[in-house]
Amino acid sequence: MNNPDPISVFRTEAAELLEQIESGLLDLTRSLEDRDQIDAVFRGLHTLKGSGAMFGFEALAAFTHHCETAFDRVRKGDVPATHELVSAVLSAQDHMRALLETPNGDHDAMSAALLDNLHRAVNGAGSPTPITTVIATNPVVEKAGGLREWRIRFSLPANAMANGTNPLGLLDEMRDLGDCRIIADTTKVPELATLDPRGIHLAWDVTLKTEKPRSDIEDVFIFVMDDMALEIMEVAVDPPATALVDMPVAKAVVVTEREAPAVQAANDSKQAKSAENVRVPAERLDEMMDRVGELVIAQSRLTQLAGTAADLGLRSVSEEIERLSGELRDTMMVLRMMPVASLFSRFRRLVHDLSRETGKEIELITEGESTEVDKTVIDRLADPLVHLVRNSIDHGLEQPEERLAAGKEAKGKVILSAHQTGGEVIITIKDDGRGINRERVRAKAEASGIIQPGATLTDQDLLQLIFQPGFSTAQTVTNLSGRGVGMDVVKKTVEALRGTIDITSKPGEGSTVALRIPLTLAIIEGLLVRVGQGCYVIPLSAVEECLELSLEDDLRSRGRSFISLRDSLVPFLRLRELFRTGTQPDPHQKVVVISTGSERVGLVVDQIIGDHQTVIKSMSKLHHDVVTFSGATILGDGSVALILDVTHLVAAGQQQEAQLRAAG
Amino acid sequence: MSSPLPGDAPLTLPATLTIKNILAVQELILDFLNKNTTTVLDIDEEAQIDLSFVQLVTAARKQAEMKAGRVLLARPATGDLYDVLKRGGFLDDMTPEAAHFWLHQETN
Repeated sequence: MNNPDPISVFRTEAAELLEQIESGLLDLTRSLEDRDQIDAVFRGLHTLKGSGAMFGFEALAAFTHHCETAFDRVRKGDVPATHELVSAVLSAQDHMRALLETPNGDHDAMSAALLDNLHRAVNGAGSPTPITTVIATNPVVEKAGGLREWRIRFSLPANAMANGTNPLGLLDEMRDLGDCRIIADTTKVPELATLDPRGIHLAWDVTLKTEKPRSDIEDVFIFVMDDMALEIMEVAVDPPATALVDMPVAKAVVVTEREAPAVQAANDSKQAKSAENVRVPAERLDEMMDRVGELVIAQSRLTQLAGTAADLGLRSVSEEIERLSGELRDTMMVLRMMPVASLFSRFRRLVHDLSRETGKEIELITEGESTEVDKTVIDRLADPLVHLVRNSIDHGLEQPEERLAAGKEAKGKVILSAHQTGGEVIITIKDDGRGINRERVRAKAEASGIIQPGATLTDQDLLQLIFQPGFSTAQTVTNLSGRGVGMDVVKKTVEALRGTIDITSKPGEGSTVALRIPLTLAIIEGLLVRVGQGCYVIPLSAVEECLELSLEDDLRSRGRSFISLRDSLVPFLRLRELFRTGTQPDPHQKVVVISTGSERVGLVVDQIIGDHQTVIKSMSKLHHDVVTFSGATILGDGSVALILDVTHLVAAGQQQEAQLRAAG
Repeated sequence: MSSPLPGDAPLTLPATLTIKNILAVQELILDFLNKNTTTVLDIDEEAQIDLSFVQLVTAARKQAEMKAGRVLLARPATGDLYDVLKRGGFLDDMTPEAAHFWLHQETN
């Protein structure tokens, strides 16, 4: 049997639980009386505690227990939820991560300090609130009095025991409610060979006579309610005379019985939904992606062989495999895609903390969270985005009084958005702060020797200076930013993902940083071209159109490197010259017009071979600084073709052009 | 229905029979079941037991029935095992067969 390490599984699930708890706490900061969030946080803490104890994370379980107790008091209405309490649990939650990561570390002092903070928050939360104010959310069934009999049938989520729920404890709680008869149903337990022994396959039928309301029965299952199947039916009420008078109870019976199938259907739906998802380790996806890449290369070889063979059967099979491998590649790409919501969600906490640290009022708005990108992009963009959001808040947003004086709302906005366009996803960080001070950027760059004093720069070039190594305009170094590290790393990381950064800023209105990242990183559709004796791949997503460059046009354009394209002049680069191939131009040269952000540029090549599924292989470390190529690929005949990094290529070409012009 | 006979092969189980090691216990019993027609589970009276083990034994009995074999307990349930059976709702409305299996009660 190939079972994953249970500790590793626990760590993964605990990390997810912590994220859910954090999300619930952050939601609570907006609406402190949100009962659903209070329950969700409580359930999360309870599950974390239980499963932590089960898997030997005793310190985590013991520490979490205190937070759970605090939220239990909130849930019961003993203390109100306050911003102080939520903040205390948020801080405690960070510590839980540490306890999860290094269970044997020396955490005692930090645990004690955080618990002290928590107790102060609980004790300072004001006078107790009567429990009834919380319970009163379920008015119809709260009417107690009179013995009633309930039939309860339930089965727990399959992973309940593995997550730390003790079914026997639930049954004990049920017995505490009154006269109880419990019968275990073993009919769905499979034979031993097919049993998942950590899952629960048992169900229970319970007959309960109690004076307690239905909500007390439901409370028994509060921690597992989301995924379990639960039927509660009242089968008898007090003597008829009482029932006739006590209309609310009689009404409750009708509602309850009607509810049962609906509840069951909802539960079935939830179970079916959870069964639709399979957790797969990320490295297996990476392995599979590599295999698909190799398959695409092999298929390319087959296509080439079939193209030169006279065997029609071989050609037919080759075409079929080409189609299938294309579909497999597309499916694989989709498998690797994740919504950016998983990336954006972590910024809620960051902004919450920064707001407290800086005293600035900040509203974080996220848009386009369902936009999907390759999981590698999600992983690698997390840190750069943290830097950018921190910079927006620290340098961009003003203090409330400064904003008010400028006629703005006291609360500053940071908008984090994502959208897909063509083969790229654009992630934008926008703030409505003071904007970038260009004079200060220039002065700093000149003082640091990044530019010559008085150098002529376009506005975009000036703004891009903030991504230079060692650059910082912060007058004082803060905990948030201004250490002169980070922004250059942001740029390098984005470029490593074959992306670009655009920045715009208006004084007094704010700044926008846009990261343009290719949707996929492993296989792209490319246009295979020949320049001299070598083959090169141009990413198809950047290609707008292809034209023929006649010998006459070529000669006529010499010295100015522009072609006229539908009444507009488009600059072009002769790749043969740029790559110094030393070969004569083909008599039928082609121009591939590409688009890089706002610019259109033509690339002159000797021959367009055709489209090509391009499996991207990284360049060796020796070629790390060759920025005009983003990687290499293996062609069907086993030869290597370099993949053009069009953004850098155009920049290099423009630089070369400028040098030529300067030389006269 | 029958009780263990002197010739029946006993399988001595570890002292911990909980979800922490239930996978190993499953493999142990499965291996034994595949090699023997009758499997007598020898459970220490002091053994630490949770619901996952009771479920496992239930599954083992079903497996044995499939191949016309049988699973028996070396002695009636006591200690943790009895406690889990009671709290888990296995002793209420017990069938004679279940009473015989878990508690070695005669059925007359």
